[in-house]
Amino acid sequence: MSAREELEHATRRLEALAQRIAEAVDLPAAELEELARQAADLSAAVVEIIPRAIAEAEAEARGDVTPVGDPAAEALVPDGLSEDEPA
Amino acid sequence: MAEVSRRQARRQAVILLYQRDVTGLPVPELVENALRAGDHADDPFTQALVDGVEADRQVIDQRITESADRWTADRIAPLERNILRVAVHELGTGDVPVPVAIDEAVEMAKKWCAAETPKFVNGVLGRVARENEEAAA
Repeated sequence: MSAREELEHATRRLEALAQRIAEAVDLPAAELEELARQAADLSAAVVEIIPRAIAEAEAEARGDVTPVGDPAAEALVPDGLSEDEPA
Repeated sequence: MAEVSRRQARRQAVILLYQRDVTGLPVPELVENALRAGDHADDPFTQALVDGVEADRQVIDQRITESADRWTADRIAPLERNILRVAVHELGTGDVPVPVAIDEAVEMAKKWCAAETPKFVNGVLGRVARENEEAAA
């Protein structure tokens, strides 16, 4: 999974958690604390992923890397061989 | 402190504001985190941009909403929104020539965002710049 896909996934989960916390009026304190802990963990993950996702986009813009899942790039390497190995 | 170009400082400011926007964490915590990761988040120009956007966020978002056809600032994706916020702030300070502020934002959008985003960013900032000129005349 690319960093940008990771970021998209984590951001969606974070938004969903924030929504649940906002709506959790009658939730027991222990459950609310657990949601808050999950949100804190996810926030820390998002903070860490954002610079990686941006660096990944910059590398793609410079042409240093090929986007993940690009079928044209996959076709360059024959089955079972990497470019470093002799045929 | 290592020498940081204005372009690098802008990049770092957008990253910090993007992180703040998505996570709601306080800026000092995000700066500490970035410093631990080896980024120059304590650069004075970065801090001035982040502080400026944070201080005027409501006004900046209002300017973006007024200049973005059929879009409100809160409906624009967070990365695009923070590229725009930094540029609108810079256009307002007058510290940077207008074409430079717009071009820097468009370049970030080209590198980081979807293909149609640079045109959108250019359009919004062009309108903000024209309004600034009219207000100053």
